Amino acid sequence: MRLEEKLYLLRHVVDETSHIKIDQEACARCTDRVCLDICPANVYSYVEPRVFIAYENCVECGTCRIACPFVEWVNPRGGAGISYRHG
Amino acid sequence: MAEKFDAIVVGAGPAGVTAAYVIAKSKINVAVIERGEYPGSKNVIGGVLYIKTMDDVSPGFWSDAPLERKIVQHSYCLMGKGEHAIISHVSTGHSDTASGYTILRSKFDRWYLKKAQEAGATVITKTNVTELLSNQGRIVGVRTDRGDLSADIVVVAEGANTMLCEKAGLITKPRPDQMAIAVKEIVALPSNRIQERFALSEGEGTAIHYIGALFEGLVGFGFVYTNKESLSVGFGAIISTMMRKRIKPYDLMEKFKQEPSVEPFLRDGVVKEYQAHMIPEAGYVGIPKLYSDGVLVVGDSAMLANPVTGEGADLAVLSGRLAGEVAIQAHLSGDYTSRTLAQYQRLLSNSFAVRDMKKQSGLLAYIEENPEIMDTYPEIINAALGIWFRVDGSTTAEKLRRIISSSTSKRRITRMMKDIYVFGRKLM
Repeated sequence: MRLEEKLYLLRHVVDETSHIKIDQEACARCTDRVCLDICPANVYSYVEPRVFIAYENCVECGTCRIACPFVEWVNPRGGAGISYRHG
Repeated sequence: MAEKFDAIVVGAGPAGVTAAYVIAKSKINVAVIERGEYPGSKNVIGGVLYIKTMDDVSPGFWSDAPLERKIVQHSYCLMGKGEHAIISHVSTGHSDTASGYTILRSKFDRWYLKKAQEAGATVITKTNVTELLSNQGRIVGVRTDRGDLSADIVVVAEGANTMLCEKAGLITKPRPDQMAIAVKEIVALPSNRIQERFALSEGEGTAIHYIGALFEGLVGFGFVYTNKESLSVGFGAIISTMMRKRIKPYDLMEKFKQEPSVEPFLRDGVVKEYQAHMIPEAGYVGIPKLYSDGVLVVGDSAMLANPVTGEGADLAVLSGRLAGEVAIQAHLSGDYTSRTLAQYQRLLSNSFAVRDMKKQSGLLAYIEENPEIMDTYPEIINAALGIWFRVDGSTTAEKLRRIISSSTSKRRITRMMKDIYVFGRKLM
Protein backbone atom coordinates (compact mmCIF):
# COMPACT_ATOMS: atom_id res chain seq x y z
CA MET A 1 0.00 0.00 0.00
CA ARG A 2 1.39 3.41 -0.94
CA LEU A 3 1.85 6.13 1.64
CA GLU A 4 -0.44 8.47 -0.32
CA GLU A 5 -3.28 5.95 0.05
CA LYS A 6 -2.65 5.71 3.78
CA LEU A 7 -2.57 9.46 4.24
CA TYR A 8 -5.80 9.69 2.28
CA LEU A 9 -7.51 7.68 5.06
CA LEU A 10 -6.74 10.34 7.66
CA ARG A 11 -8.96 13.14 8.86
CA HIS A 12 -7.26 16.53 9.11
CA VAL A 13 -8.76 19.86 10.07
CA VAL A 14 -6.53 22.08 7.97
CA ASP A 15 -5.28 25.29 9.53
CA GLU A 16 -4.85 28.34 7.29
CA THR A 17 -1.28 28.80 8.40
CA SER A 18 1.55 26.32 8.73
CA HIS A 19 2.55 25.16 12.22
CA ILE A 20 5.93 24.16 10.81
CA LYS A 21 8.63 26.60 9.83
CA ILE A 22 12.23 26.06 8.86
CA ASP A 23 15.21 28.28 9.19
CA GLN A 24 15.59 28.54 5.40
CA GLU A 25 19.10 29.94 5.56
CA ALA A 26 20.44 27.10 7.72
CA CYS A 27 18.37 24.61 5.74
CA ALA A 28 19.96 25.77 2.48
CA ARG A 29 23.40 24.99 3.91
CA CYS A 30 22.32 21.56 5.20
CA THR A 31 23.68 18.61 3.25
CA ASP A 32 22.12 15.93 5.41
CA ARG A 33 18.40 16.70 4.83
CA VAL A 34 17.29 14.00 7.23
CA CYS A 35 13.77 15.52 7.11
CA LEU A 36 13.25 13.97 3.67
CA ASP A 37 13.58 10.46 5.12
CA ILE A 38 12.56 10.63 8.77
CA CYS A 39 9.05 12.08 8.42
CA PRO A 40 6.44 9.30 8.50
CA ALA A 41 3.96 11.44 6.56
CA ASN A 42 6.41 12.66 3.91
CA VAL A 43 5.73 16.29 4.82
CA TYR A 44 9.13 17.46 3.55
CA SER A 45 10.20 17.46 -0.07
CA TYR A 46 13.14 19.04 -1.84
CA VAL A 47 12.39 20.97 -4.97
CA GLU A 48 15.37 22.95 -6.19
CA PRO A 49 16.35 25.28 -4.57
CA ARG A 50 14.71 24.55 -1.24
CA VAL A 51 12.77 22.23 1.08
CA PHE A 52 8.97 22.50 0.88
CA ILE A 53 6.61 21.69 3.73
CA ALA A 54 3.24 20.02 3.13
CA TYR A 55 2.12 20.87 6.69
CA GLU A 56 -1.46 19.80 6.00
CA ASN A 57 -0.28 16.15 5.93
CA CYS A 58 1.52 16.37 9.29
CA VAL A 59 0.45 13.70 11.82
CA GLU A 60 2.08 15.65 14.66
CA CYS A 61 4.54 13.03 15.87
CA GLY A 62 7.22 15.73 16.23
CA THR A 63 10.03 13.50 14.99
CA CYS A 64 11.36 16.22 12.67
CA ARG A 65 11.72 18.54 15.64
CA ILE A 66 14.03 16.00 17.30
CA ALA A 67 15.90 14.93 14.15
CA CYS A 68 16.49 18.35 12.57
CA PRO A 69 17.84 21.38 14.42
CA PHE A 70 16.42 23.83 11.85
CA VAL A 71 12.76 22.89 12.16
CA GLU A 72 10.55 25.12 14.27
CA TRP A 73 7.58 22.92 15.05
CA VAL A 74 4.64 23.96 17.23
CA ASN A 75 1.20 22.44 17.78
CA PRO A 76 -1.44 23.47 15.24
CA ARG A 77 -4.15 25.78 16.59
CA GLY A 78 -6.60 24.08 18.99
CA GLY A 79 -9.01 21.77 17.15
CA ALA A 80 -6.88 21.82 13.98
CA GLY A 81 -4.53 19.20 12.57
CA ILE A 82 -4.75 15.44 12.72
CA SER A 83 -7.88 13.81 14.15
CA TYR A 84 -7.47 10.05 14.53
CA ARG A 85 -10.79 8.24 14.41
CA HIS A 86 -10.00 4.52 14.71
CA GLY A 87 -6.79 3.87 16.65
CA MET B 1 -8.77 39.12 34.59
CA ALA B 2 -8.14 35.52 33.56
CA GLU B 3 -10.56 32.85 34.71
CA LYS B 4 -9.16 31.03 37.73
CA PHE B 5 -9.12 27.33 38.57
CA ASP B 6 -7.54 25.64 41.57
CA ALA B 7 -5.75 23.30 39.17
CA ILE B 8 -5.25 23.11 35.41
CA VAL B 9 -4.20 19.95 33.59
CA VAL B 10 -2.69 20.39 30.12
CA GLY B 11 -3.49 17.39 27.92
CA ALA B 12 -6.22 14.74 28.05
CA GLY B 13 -4.13 11.60 27.66
CA PRO B 14 -4.02 8.92 30.36
CA ALA B 15 -1.59 10.89 32.56
CA GLY B 16 -3.53 14.16 32.45
CA VAL B 17 -6.97 12.62 32.79
CA THR B 18 -5.87 10.48 35.74
CA ALA B 19 -4.54 13.59 37.52
CA ALA B 20 -7.76 15.48 36.76
CA TYR B 21 -9.92 12.56 37.90
CA VAL B 22 -8.05 12.21 41.21
CA ILE B 23 -8.12 15.96 41.86
CA ALA B 24 -11.80 16.35 40.88
CA LYS B 25 -12.82 13.53 43.22
CA SER B 26 -11.52 15.67 46.11
CA LYS B 27 -13.96 18.44 45.13
CA ILE B 28 -11.14 20.67 43.91
CA ASN B 29 -11.92 22.94 40.96
CA VAL B 30 -9.86 21.44 38.11
CA ALA B 31 -9.89 22.03 34.35
CA VAL B 32 -8.44 19.76 31.65
CA ILE B 33 -7.36 21.48 28.46
CA GLU B 34 -7.09 19.32 25.32
CA ARG B 35 -5.95 20.67 21.95
CA GLY B 36 -7.62 17.94 19.90
CA GLU B 37 -11.10 17.99 18.39
CA TYR B 38 -12.04 15.35 20.96
CA PRO B 39 -10.06 13.35 23.53
CA GLY B 40 -7.94 10.70 21.82
CA SER B 41 -7.88 12.48 18.47
CA LYS B 42 -4.13 13.15 18.77
CA ASN B 43 -3.19 10.18 20.90
CA VAL B 44 -1.45 6.96 19.92
CA ILE B 45 -0.62 3.81 21.87
CA GLY B 46 1.02 0.64 20.56
CA GLY B 47 -2.06 -1.04 21.80
CA VAL B 48 -1.76 -2.69 25.22
CA LEU B 49 -2.68 -0.96 28.48
CA TYR B 50 -1.60 -2.85 31.59
CA ILE B 51 -4.41 -2.33 34.05
CA LYS B 52 -2.68 -2.50 37.44
CA THR B 53 -2.03 1.23 37.79
CA MET B 54 -5.61 2.00 36.68
CA ASP B 55 -6.87 -0.27 39.43
CA ASP B 56 -4.64 1.58 41.91
CA VAL B 57 -6.49 4.81 41.04
CA SER B 58 -9.76 3.27 42.15
CA PRO B 59 -10.31 -0.50 42.35
CA GLY B 60 -12.50 -1.80 39.54
CA PHE B 61 -13.49 1.59 38.17
CA TRP B 62 -11.99 0.63 34.81
CA SER B 63 -14.36 -2.31 34.37
CA ASP B 64 -16.78 -0.34 32.18
CA ALA B 65 -13.96 1.08 30.02
CA PRO B 66 -14.06 0.30 26.29
CA LEU B 67 -11.39 -2.41 26.44
CA GLU B 68 -10.81 -4.43 23.29
CA ARG B 69 -9.33 -7.81 24.26
CA LYS B 70 -7.71 -9.17 27.39
CA ILE B 71 -4.19 -10.26 26.50
CA VAL B 72 -3.85 -13.96 27.31
CA GLN B 73 -0.99 -14.71 24.90
CA HIS B 74 2.35 -12.90 24.90
CA SER B 75 4.89 -13.85 22.25
CA TYR B 76 8.33 -12.86 21.09
CA CYS B 77 9.02 -13.46 17.43
CA LEU B 78 12.71 -13.58 16.55
CA MET B 79 12.97 -12.76 12.87
CA GLY B 80 15.74 -14.37 10.88
CA LYS B 81 16.39 -14.47 7.16
CA GLY B 82 14.06 -17.04 5.67
CA GLU B 83 13.19 -18.35 9.13
CA HIS B 84 11.81 -17.16 12.42
CA ALA B 85 11.30 -18.51 15.93
CA ILE B 86 8.36 -17.75 18.19
CA ILE B 87 8.35 -18.01 21.97
CA SER B 88 4.87 -17.79 23.43
CA HIS B 89 3.24 -17.81 26.80
CA VAL B 90 -0.45 -18.50 27.11
CA SER B 91 -2.20 -17.72 30.36
CA THR B 92 -5.54 -19.18 31.27
CA GLY B 93 -5.84 -18.18 34.89
CA HIS B 94 -4.30 -14.80 35.64
CA SER B 95 -6.19 -12.21 37.64
CA ASP B 96 -7.68 -9.29 35.74
CA THR B 97 -5.69 -6.58 37.47
CA ALA B 98 -2.37 -8.18 36.51
CA SER B 99 -3.38 -8.26 32.85
CA GLY B 100 -3.06 -6.04 29.86
CA TYR B 101 -5.89 -5.12 27.54
CA THR B 102 -5.73 -3.80 24.02
CA ILE B 103 -7.37 -0.40 23.68
CA LEU B 104 -8.21 2.04 20.90
CA ARG B 105 -7.53 5.58 21.99
CA SER B 106 -10.40 7.14 20.05
CA LYS B 107 -12.77 5.16 22.29
CA PHE B 108 -10.76 4.80 25.49
CA ASP B 109 -9.69 8.43 25.92
CA ARG B 110 -13.27 9.64 25.41
CA TRP B 111 -14.50 7.25 28.07
CA TYR B 112 -11.75 8.24 30.48
CA LEU B 113 -12.20 11.98 30.09
CA LYS B 114 -15.94 11.49 30.65
CA LYS B 115 -15.10 9.78 33.96
CA ALA B 116 -13.10 12.82 35.04
CA GLN B 117 -15.90 15.11 33.89
CA GLU B 118 -18.46 13.11 35.91
CA ALA B 119 -16.15 13.45 38.92
CA GLY B 120 -16.40 17.23 38.51
CA ALA B 121 -13.55 18.25 36.18
CA THR B 122 -14.15 21.02 33.65
CA VAL B 123 -13.25 19.88 30.13
CA ILE B 124 -11.99 22.35 27.54
CA THR B 125 -11.26 20.86 24.09
CA LYS B 126 -10.00 22.37 20.81
CA THR B 127 -7.72 24.63 22.83
CA ASN B 128 -3.97 24.69 22.51
CA VAL B 129 -1.81 25.77 25.41
CA THR B 130 1.06 27.80 24.00
CA GLU B 131 2.88 28.79 27.15
CA LEU B 132 3.02 28.33 30.92
CA LEU B 133 2.50 31.67 32.64
CA SER B 134 4.89 32.52 35.43
CA ASN B 135 5.18 35.20 38.03
CA GLN B 136 8.45 35.61 39.93
CA GLY B 137 9.59 32.14 38.92
CA ARG B 138 6.35 30.45 39.89
CA ILE B 139 3.91 28.93 37.38
CA VAL B 140 0.56 30.68 37.82
CA GLY B 141 -1.47 29.61 34.81
CA VAL B 142 -1.48 28.92 31.09
CA ARG B 143 -1.71 30.93 27.89
CA THR B 144 -3.97 29.32 25.30
CA ASP B 145 -4.93 30.25 21.76
CA ARG B 146 -8.28 31.28 23.26
CA GLY B 147 -7.01 33.36 26.17
CA ASP B 148 -5.25 33.06 29.52
CA LEU B 149 -6.33 30.91 32.46
CA SER B 150 -4.84 31.06 35.91
CA ALA B 151 -4.41 28.30 38.50
CA ASP B 152 -2.66 27.56 41.77
CA ILE B 153 -1.10 24.51 40.18
CA VAL B 154 -0.58 23.34 36.58
CA VAL B 155 -0.10 19.66 35.75
CA VAL B 156 1.66 19.34 32.39
CA ALA B 157 0.65 16.23 30.42
CA GLU B 158 1.49 17.52 26.96
CA GLY B 159 2.83 14.17 25.74
CA ALA B 160 6.08 13.29 23.99
CA ASN B 161 6.36 16.71 22.36
CA THR B 162 7.53 18.72 25.33
CA MET B 163 7.50 22.27 23.98
CA LEU B 164 5.80 23.75 27.06
CA CYS B 165 8.24 22.16 29.50
CA GLU B 166 11.20 23.19 27.36
CA LYS B 167 9.97 26.77 27.04
CA ALA B 168 9.48 26.97 30.81
CA GLY B 169 13.02 25.66 31.36
CA LEU B 170 11.78 22.53 33.11
CA ILE B 171 13.45 20.11 30.72
CA THR B 172 15.87 20.21 27.81
CA LYS B 173 14.83 19.12 24.34
CA PRO B 174 15.42 15.36 23.96
CA ARG B 175 18.16 14.12 21.62
CA PRO B 176 17.48 11.76 18.67
CA ASP B 177 19.04 8.87 20.64
CA GLN B 178 16.54 9.42 23.47
CA MET B 179 13.35 9.12 21.43
CA ALA B 180 11.85 6.47 19.17
CA ILE B 181 9.58 7.02 16.21
CA ALA B 182 6.76 4.50 16.03
CA VAL B 183 4.33 4.00 13.18
CA LYS B 184 1.22 1.89 13.35
CA GLU B 185 -1.73 0.78 11.29
CA ILE B 186 -5.18 -0.31 12.31
CA VAL B 187 -6.03 -3.28 10.08
CA ALA B 188 -9.69 -4.31 10.17
CA LEU B 189 -10.61 -8.01 10.27
CA PRO B 190 -13.82 -9.73 11.42
CA SER B 191 -13.62 -10.86 15.05
CA ASN B 192 -14.16 -14.55 14.24
CA ARG B 193 -11.27 -14.43 11.76
CA ILE B 194 -9.05 -12.91 14.44
CA GLN B 195 -10.03 -15.60 16.92
CA GLU B 196 -9.40 -18.41 14.43
CA ARG B 197 -6.15 -16.93 13.20
CA PHE B 198 -4.63 -16.45 16.65
CA ALA B 199 -6.34 -19.38 18.45
CA LEU B 200 -8.29 -17.12 20.80
CA SER B 201 -11.69 -17.27 22.47
CA GLU B 202 -14.07 -14.34 22.45
CA GLY B 203 -12.69 -11.38 24.40
CA GLU B 204 -9.18 -12.85 24.46
CA GLY B 205 -6.23 -11.25 22.74
CA THR B 206 -2.62 -11.74 21.78
CA ALA B 207 0.44 -9.51 21.84
CA ILE B 208 3.35 -10.42 19.57
CA HIS B 209 6.64 -8.52 19.76
CA TYR B 210 9.11 -8.81 16.91
CA ILE B 211 12.84 -8.29 16.94
CA GLY B 212 15.56 -9.35 14.54
CA ALA B 213 16.77 -9.27 10.98
CA LEU B 214 14.29 -6.81 9.49
CA PHE B 215 15.57 -4.10 11.79
CA GLU B 216 19.23 -4.75 10.95
CA GLY B 217 21.35 -1.91 12.29
CA LEU B 218 18.33 -0.28 13.90
CA VAL B 219 17.48 -0.48 17.56
CA GLY B 220 13.89 -1.35 16.74
CA PHE B 221 11.01 -3.66 17.41
CA GLY B 222 7.72 -4.54 15.75
CA PHE B 223 4.35 -5.57 17.12
CA VAL B 224 1.02 -7.16 16.28
CA TYR B 225 -1.82 -6.78 18.81
CA THR B 226 -5.40 -7.97 18.46
CA ASN B 227 -8.35 -5.67 19.01
CA LYS B 228 -11.98 -6.81 18.82
CA GLU B 229 -12.30 -6.29 15.09
CA SER B 230 -8.89 -5.08 14.04
CA LEU B 231 -5.18 -5.56 14.52
CA SER B 232 -2.74 -2.90 15.68
CA VAL B 233 0.40 -3.46 13.62
CA GLY B 234 3.53 -1.40 13.71
CA PHE B 235 7.10 -0.87 14.71
CA GLY B 236 9.25 1.60 16.56
CA ALA B 237 12.94 2.45 16.32
CA ILE B 238 15.30 4.88 18.01
CA ILE B 239 15.37 8.05 15.89
CA SER B 240 19.17 8.33 15.81
CA THR B 241 19.44 4.82 14.35
CA MET B 242 16.73 5.61 11.77
CA MET B 243 18.66 8.75 10.82
CA ARG B 244 21.87 6.72 10.37
CA LYS B 245 20.23 4.10 8.19
CA ARG B 246 18.20 6.66 6.21
CA ILE B 247 15.17 4.40 6.03
CA LYS B 248 11.76 5.93 5.56
CA PRO B 249 9.39 4.81 8.34
CA TYR B 250 6.63 3.92 5.89
CA ASP B 251 8.96 1.86 3.71
CA LEU B 252 10.04 -0.14 6.75
CA MET B 253 6.39 -0.55 7.74
CA GLU B 254 5.60 -2.07 4.34
CA LYS B 255 8.60 -4.40 4.64
CA PHE B 256 7.47 -5.43 8.11
CA LYS B 257 3.98 -6.21 6.84
CA GLN B 258 5.46 -8.41 4.09
CA GLU B 259 7.51 -10.50 6.53
CA PRO B 260 6.50 -14.20 6.47
CA SER B 261 6.03 -13.99 10.25
CA VAL B 262 3.60 -11.08 9.90
CA GLU B 263 1.88 -11.23 6.50
CA PRO B 264 -0.36 -14.30 7.19
CA PHE B 265 -1.89 -12.52 10.20
CA LEU B 266 -2.85 -9.50 8.11
CA ARG B 267 -4.16 -11.32 5.03
CA ASP B 268 -7.44 -9.86 3.68
CA GLY B 269 -7.29 -7.13 6.31
CA VAL B 270 -8.29 -3.59 5.40
CA VAL B 271 -6.14 -0.69 6.57
CA LYS B 272 -8.37 1.77 8.40
CA GLU B 273 -5.84 4.20 9.77
CA TYR B 274 -2.14 5.03 9.71
CA GLN B 275 -0.57 6.68 12.75
CA ALA B 276 2.80 7.90 13.95
CA HIS B 277 4.01 8.97 17.35
CA MET B 278 7.20 9.37 19.38
CA ILE B 279 8.09 7.29 22.42
CA PRO B 280 10.55 8.50 25.07
CA GLU B 281 13.28 5.85 25.29
CA ALA B 282 15.93 7.46 27.44
CA GLY B 283 14.87 5.43 30.46
CA TYR B 284 15.73 6.60 33.94
CA VAL B 285 18.55 8.94 32.95
CA GLY B 286 16.08 10.81 30.78
CA ILE B 287 13.71 11.60 33.64
CA PRO B 288 14.15 15.28 34.42
CA LYS B 289 13.14 17.23 37.51
CA LEU B 290 9.38 16.91 37.37
CA TYR B 291 8.29 19.72 39.62
CA SER B 292 8.86 23.39 40.22
CA ASP B 293 6.87 26.07 42.02
CA GLY B 294 3.26 25.66 40.90
CA VAL B 295 3.85 22.89 38.34
CA LEU B 296 4.11 19.10 38.01
CA VAL B 297 5.06 17.10 34.89
CA VAL B 298 3.50 13.69 34.13
CA GLY B 299 3.35 10.88 31.53
CA ASP B 300 5.36 10.96 28.30
CA SER B 301 6.31 14.57 29.07
CA ALA B 302 8.11 13.19 32.11
CA MET B 303 9.85 10.61 29.84
CA LEU B 304 8.04 7.84 31.69
CA ALA B 305 8.31 4.87 29.37
CA ASN B 306 10.09 1.61 30.01
CA PRO B 307 12.09 0.56 26.95
CA VAL B 308 12.49 -3.00 28.26
CA THR B 309 8.92 -3.87 29.23
CA GLY B 310 7.25 -1.59 26.69
CA GLU B 311 5.08 0.01 29.38
CA GLY B 312 4.09 3.62 28.81
CA ALA B 313 0.40 4.31 29.21
CA ASP B 314 0.21 2.55 32.58
CA LEU B 315 3.17 4.60 33.83
CA ALA B 316 1.34 7.69 32.63
CA VAL B 317 -1.60 6.64 34.78
CA LEU B 318 0.71 6.00 37.74
CA SER B 319 2.34 9.43 37.44
CA GLY B 320 -1.06 11.10 36.97
CA ARG B 321 -2.35 9.54 40.17
CA LEU B 322 0.71 10.55 42.21
CA ALA B 323 0.66 14.09 40.79
CA GLY B 324 -3.06 14.33 41.55
CA GLU B 325 -2.51 13.22 45.13
CA VAL B 326 0.35 15.68 45.68
CA ALA B 327 -1.71 18.49 44.10
CA ILE B 328 -4.45 17.74 46.64
CA GLN B 329 -1.90 17.95 49.49
CA ALA B 330 -0.71 21.28 48.11
CA HIS B 331 -4.28 22.54 47.91
CA LEU B 332 -5.03 21.50 51.49
CA SER B 333 -1.85 23.05 52.87
CA GLY B 334 -2.05 26.11 50.63
CA ASP B 335 1.62 25.59 49.76
CA TYR B 336 2.18 25.15 46.01
CA THR B 337 5.93 25.62 46.14
CA SER B 338 8.58 23.02 45.34
CA ARG B 339 8.71 22.19 49.03
CA THR B 340 5.36 20.40 48.81
CA LEU B 341 5.55 19.37 45.17
CA ALA B 342 8.94 17.61 45.52
CA GLN B 343 6.99 14.85 47.23
CA TYR B 344 5.67 13.86 43.76
CA GLN B 345 9.11 13.02 42.44
CA ARG B 346 9.98 11.15 45.65
CA LEU B 347 6.84 9.01 45.37
CA LEU B 348 7.49 8.38 41.70
CA SER B 349 11.14 7.43 42.30
CA ASN B 350 10.03 4.90 44.92
CA SER B 351 7.43 3.32 42.61
CA PHE B 352 8.05 -0.12 41.12
CA ALA B 353 8.09 1.40 37.67
CA VAL B 354 10.78 3.99 38.18
CA ARG B 355 12.90 1.71 40.38
CA ASP B 356 12.76 -0.71 37.44
CA MET B 357 13.80 2.00 35.00
CA LYS B 358 16.63 3.04 37.31
CA LYS B 359 17.93 -0.51 37.54
CA GLN B 360 17.94 -0.78 33.75
CA SER B 361 19.60 2.55 33.10
CA GLY B 362 22.49 2.15 30.71
CA LEU B 363 21.10 -0.99 29.12
CA LEU B 364 19.69 0.83 26.11
CA ALA B 365 22.93 2.77 25.73
CA TYR B 366 24.78 -0.57 25.67
CA ILE B 367 22.44 -1.85 22.97
CA GLU B 368 22.80 1.38 20.98
CA GLU B 369 26.60 1.00 21.13
CA ASN B 370 26.25 -2.64 20.05
CA PRO B 371 23.16 -2.59 17.81
CA GLU B 372 24.14 -5.94 16.27
CA ILE B 373 22.86 -7.56 19.49
CA MET B 374 19.33 -6.94 18.28
CA ASP B 375 19.69 -9.20 15.25
CA THR B 376 22.64 -11.46 16.09
CA TYR B 377 20.87 -13.29 18.92
CA PRO B 378 17.67 -13.89 16.97
CA GLU B 379 19.93 -15.24 14.19
CA ILE B 380 21.80 -17.53 16.59
CA ILE B 381 18.56 -18.94 18.02
CA ASN B 382 17.04 -19.41 14.56
CA ALA B 383 20.13 -21.19 13.26
CA ALA B 384 20.28 -23.43 16.34
CA LEU B 385 16.62 -24.44 16.06
CA GLY B 386 17.02 -24.92 12.32
CA ILE B 387 19.86 -27.40 12.90
CA TRP B 388 18.02 -29.10 15.76
CA PHE B 389 14.80 -29.74 13.83
CA ARG B 390 16.46 -30.88 10.58
CA VAL B 391 16.57 -34.59 9.91
CA ASP B 392 19.57 -34.91 7.64
CA GLY B 393 21.30 -38.06 8.84
CA SER B 394 23.40 -36.30 11.52
CA THR B 395 23.47 -37.66 15.03
CA THR B 396 22.25 -35.54 17.93
CA ALA B 397 25.84 -35.07 19.08
CA GLU B 398 26.87 -33.82 15.65
CA LYS B 399 23.91 -31.42 15.61
CA LEU B 400 24.82 -30.01 19.01
CA ARG B 401 28.44 -29.49 17.93
CA ARG B 402 27.20 -27.70 14.79
CA ILE B 403 24.91 -25.52 16.91
CA ILE B 404 27.86 -24.49 19.10
CA SER B 405 30.13 -23.69 16.18
CA SER B 406 27.36 -21.87 14.32
CA SER B 407 26.58 -19.77 17.39
CA THR B 408 30.19 -18.87 18.17
CA SER B 409 30.82 -17.98 14.54
CA LYS B 410 28.10 -15.32 14.84
CA ARG B 411 29.32 -13.86 18.13
CA ARG B 412 32.53 -14.66 19.98
CA ILE B 413 32.12 -16.44 23.31
CA THR B 414 33.85 -13.60 25.17
CA ARG B 415 31.35 -11.11 23.70
CA MET B 416 28.43 -13.35 24.65
CA MET B 417 29.74 -13.59 28.20
CA LYS B 418 29.94 -9.82 28.35
CA ASP B 419 26.41 -9.43 26.94
CA ILE B 420 25.04 -11.88 29.49
CA TYR B 421 26.87 -10.10 32.29
CA VAL B 422 25.59 -6.65 31.27
CA PHE B 423 22.01 -7.82 30.72
CA GLY B 424 22.03 -9.81 33.95
CA ARG B 425 23.32 -6.91 35.99
CA LYS B 426 20.87 -4.43 34.46
CA LEU B 427 17.83 -6.61 34.70
CA MET B 428 18.27 -8.46 37.98
